[in-house]
Amino acid sequence: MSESTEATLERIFRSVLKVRPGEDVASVSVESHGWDSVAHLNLILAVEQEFRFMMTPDEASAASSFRAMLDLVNSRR
Amino acid sequence: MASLGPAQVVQDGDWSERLRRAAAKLASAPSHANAHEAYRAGMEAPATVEGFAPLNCGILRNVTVEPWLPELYGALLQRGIKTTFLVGDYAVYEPYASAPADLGTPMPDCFLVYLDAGVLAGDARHDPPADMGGALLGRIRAIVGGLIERTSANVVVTNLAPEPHPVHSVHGDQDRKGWPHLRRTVNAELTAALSEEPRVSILDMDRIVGEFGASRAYDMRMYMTAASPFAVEFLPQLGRAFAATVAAAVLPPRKCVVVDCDNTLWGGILGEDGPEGVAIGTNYPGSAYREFQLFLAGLARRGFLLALNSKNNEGDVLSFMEECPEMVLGPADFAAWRINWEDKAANLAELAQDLNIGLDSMVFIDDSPFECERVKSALPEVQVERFPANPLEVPRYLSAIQGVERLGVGSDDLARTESIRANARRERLRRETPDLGSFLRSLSIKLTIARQDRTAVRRISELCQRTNQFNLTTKRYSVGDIERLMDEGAVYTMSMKDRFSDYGTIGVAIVDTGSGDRWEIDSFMLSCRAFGRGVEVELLKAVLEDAGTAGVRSVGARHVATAKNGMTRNFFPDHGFAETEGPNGEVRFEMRIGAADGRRTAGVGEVRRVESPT
Repeated sequence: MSESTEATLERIFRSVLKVRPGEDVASVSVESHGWDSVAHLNLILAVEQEFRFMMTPDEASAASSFRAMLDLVNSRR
Repeated sequence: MASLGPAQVVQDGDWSERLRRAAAKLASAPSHANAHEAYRAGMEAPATVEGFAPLNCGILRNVTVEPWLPELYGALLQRGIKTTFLVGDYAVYEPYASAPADLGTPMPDCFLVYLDAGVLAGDARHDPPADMGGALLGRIRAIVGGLIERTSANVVVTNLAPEPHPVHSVHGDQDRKGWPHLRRTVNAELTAALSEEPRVSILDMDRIVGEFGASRAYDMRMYMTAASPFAVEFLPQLGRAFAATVAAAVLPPRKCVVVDCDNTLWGGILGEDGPEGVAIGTNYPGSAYREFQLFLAGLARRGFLLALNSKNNEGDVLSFMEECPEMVLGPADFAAWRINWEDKAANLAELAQDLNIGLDSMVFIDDSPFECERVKSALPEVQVERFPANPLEVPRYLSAIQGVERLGVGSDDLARTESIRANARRERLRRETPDLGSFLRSLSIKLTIARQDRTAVRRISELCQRTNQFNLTTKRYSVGDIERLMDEGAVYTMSMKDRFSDYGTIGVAIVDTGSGDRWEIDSFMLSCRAFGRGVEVELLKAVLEDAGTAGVRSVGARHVATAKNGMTRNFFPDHGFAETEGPNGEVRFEMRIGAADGRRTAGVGEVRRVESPT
C-alpha cells in the first residue's frame, strides 16, 4: 500500500528537520528549533521533488508549518 | 587520544551498519529526503566510524551551498568517506584563503571552492573589459594558492560553470571578446595553471552540467530568490562528481582492472557463438564493446594493470584475441589472466598473488549478477562494477564506473605498471636460474637514493597511503604532510631499475632530524614490487651514512605492528639495531652510529646518491 500524503510529508520533515523521535511533527513550524532559512530551503526542495510540483515564491514563503505545507501539497494534488 | 572501551566499540559497530544502510538506501532510492537522512545519521555518529575514512571538508563559496551538503555527504558516504563540513560565510572566500583557520576546527583535509561565474564576474560580463579574464583567473589562483600555501589540504576547485540561459546566444557565439568565449578561456587557463599542482583538482562544470543538461541543471527560481543555483535533481550529479574527485585525491588508488570476456569484453559467448558470432567492431552492438575496450586501453595508458578472469577455454580466448582484427586489446595488453572453469573469486585471489598486489587494489567487471555477488561476498575488498546487460547503457556506465579515478599520472605510475608486467618475465627467469644469488646478480639492479626530492611528493604520499606489508610504522601521510616533513626533516626516496624494467620510486624513509645528535626514523617502507631483493638495506644504509656525516650519535626507530606488516618485525634488529623499551612498554630500536654494516647487498650493482634533485 502506498504511503499517505501526510505520512510522506512527515517522513520528509523528520529527515530534513531535527525532529526528535516521539515529537509531534504536526506541531512543527518555523518557530520550532531547527527550522531556519536553510532548513526551509531544504524542505521546499525535498517536498517539491517528492510530490513533483514547484512552489511559487509566495507559496514557499507561506508554507511555514507542517499543516500549511500539508494543505499546500493537498491543494496541488 | 582516549582509548575506546568495549561499549563504544559495540556502538561504533552499530554506527557502521547504520551508515552503510543509509548509503545503500540513498543509492537505491536517490532523493533529497534520503540524502538528508544519510546526512543526519552521519552528523549524529561519532567522529570515527569503522569502515569509513573520516574527512574534514571546508567549503568556500559565493552562493548558497547548504542544500548541496546532504547530497555531497551522501555521495561521499557511498564511497566509504564520512565527512564533516565546515562551510565558510557566504561570499567570504578570499579572507578564508588568507586565514583558513578562521573556518573553524579541525583544519580541513580537503577544500571545495565553488565560485559562481555570474556572481564572480558580476555585471561586467555583459561588456567584459579587456583585462577581465586575467583578473578572474588571478583571483581564483590567489584563493587556491592561499589554501595550498597555508594548509596541507587537497583543494577541489570548480571552474566557471556555463550559464543556464546565456543572453548572448548568437552574438556571443561569434564574439571572441564576449563573456561566453572569455569564460571558456578562463577555464582553459585555469586548467593549464593548476594541473601540475599535486594537491589541486579541478572539477569541470562544463562536463558535469553538460552531461545533465544546463537548462535542467539550474533552478532559476531558487537562483534568483535564494542564491541557490542548482535544481535539486542536479545535486546528486554534482555530489557524485565531487565525491569521485575527492576519492581520487584522498583514498588509496586501485591498481588493476580485472574483466570478464563474454558479454563484457565482447558481446555474446565465444564458446557457443564462435569467433564469427560474437559482437565486436564498429557497428552496434559490437561498437559498445569496442568502446569498452578503448576505455580499458585508456586506463592502461594511465597506469592501470589489466587482467582477465573468464570462464572459458584459455586457448579459444587467446586465439580469438590475437586473430580478431576488430579487437582493440590483445593478450599482450593484459598483465595476467585466469581463463578456466574455476571459481572467479578464487581466480581473483590468484591473480592478486601473481601480480603481487592486494585485493583492495582490484576492480572487477563482469556482466553476470551471480559472479558479481559471488566476488562481493567472498572478497569484499574488491571493487565490483557490474557491466550492463544492455549495450546501449555502456557509455553511461563508463562515465560512472567507480574505482578507476586517478589524478595526475606520473612516470612513476607508468613505470610501476610496466614493472609488474615485467615481473611475469622475471619470474620465468627465476625458475630457470639455479640459486637466488645468481638470479639477483643477473638482474643488474641499479638504485638511486634521493633526499628531499620535491618532484616525488605525490608518489611518496601514494606509497604512504598504500604500502601495508613492508611498512614499519604505517603512517598515512598526505601530499601536504610530505611537503611539511621535507621542510622539517629528511625524506629519502629510493628508485630502482633492473635489466627488465624501471620500477620508479619503490622505497621511502622519513627521518626526524630535529633533536641534534639523535635522529628518529619516523617511517620506512618498501613497495611490494621490490620485495625479495634486499634493496631496503641500501636505503637504511643511506640514512645511517647521512646521520654519521651530520655528526649524529644514534638513530632510533620503531616498529608499529599491524595485521599486515609482520614481515618487518625484525627488520631493525636484523640490521644492527638494539631493542630497547620505550614509554608504556613500547618496543623501540636504537643504533649507535659507527656500528652500521658497510657491505653492499648481494645483487645490487650500483647505488647512486642524489641530493635535492629539484
